[in-house]
Amino acid sequence: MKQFLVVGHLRKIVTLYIVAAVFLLNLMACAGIPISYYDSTTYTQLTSLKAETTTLVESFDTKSYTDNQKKIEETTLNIKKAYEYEKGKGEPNSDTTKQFKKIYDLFMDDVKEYKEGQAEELGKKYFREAAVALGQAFDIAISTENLKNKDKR
Amino acid sequence: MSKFTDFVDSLVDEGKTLAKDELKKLISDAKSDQSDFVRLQAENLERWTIMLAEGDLTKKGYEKLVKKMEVLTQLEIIKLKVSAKASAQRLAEGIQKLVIDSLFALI
Repeated sequence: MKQFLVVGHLRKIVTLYIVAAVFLLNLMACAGIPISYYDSTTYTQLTSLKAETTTLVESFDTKSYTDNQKKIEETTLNIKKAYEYEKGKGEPNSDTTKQFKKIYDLFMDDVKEYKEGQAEELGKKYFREAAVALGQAFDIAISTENLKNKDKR
Repeated sequence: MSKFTDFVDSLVDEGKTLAKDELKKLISDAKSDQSDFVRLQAENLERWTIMLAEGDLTKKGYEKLVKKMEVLTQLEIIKLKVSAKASAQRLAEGIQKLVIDSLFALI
């Protein structure tokens, strides 16, 4: 009789552990947290591109398009390369990829206005302020990368 | 009175389409908000409005800059989402490491 009670008690404990384990595993599976880990290459690219693009856009108020054309082509290529690197990390990195795309569009919008000679229509200090906004966009992306967890595996 | 409020007050608005006091309060409140992002955007808007008043920006340039604020807000929203996901990831990994790998090994 006593033996039956002990076996019954053990069975309850084992069942409880199994239920707890299944619950926790389900919780993690359901969470399915699609997020990439912190990447030092991404951080370096963002900080480097911030300096490169903001310096360039600032100069749009004073320099001619012809003077800047080569630099614009180089910088555009650098942003595209960085974007492709982020995109290549797949779905877990989709948030950072979206940020890169928005920053790329901000930069290209400035380049378009500059190329079309819109400086006078926008104001003599427009591009200086556009560069400030672009820098702030990079700052948000940089701090986003810093929020990610380090991969401890 | 700041240059910003001077400019807003100086606008002739016969149709009363601009709620001047609300706009001034919005910027004033945003400048003392807890969020760095909100404070920075309020400073942007105030500075650009002053530049518009002083002729450094045209109406078109001012509008384009204000539209950039929308993009900055979208970037900030993504950042907040990443922050929440990273917290959830730390919790899930903590459960895996401390509960499933370590605690379950002992019982």
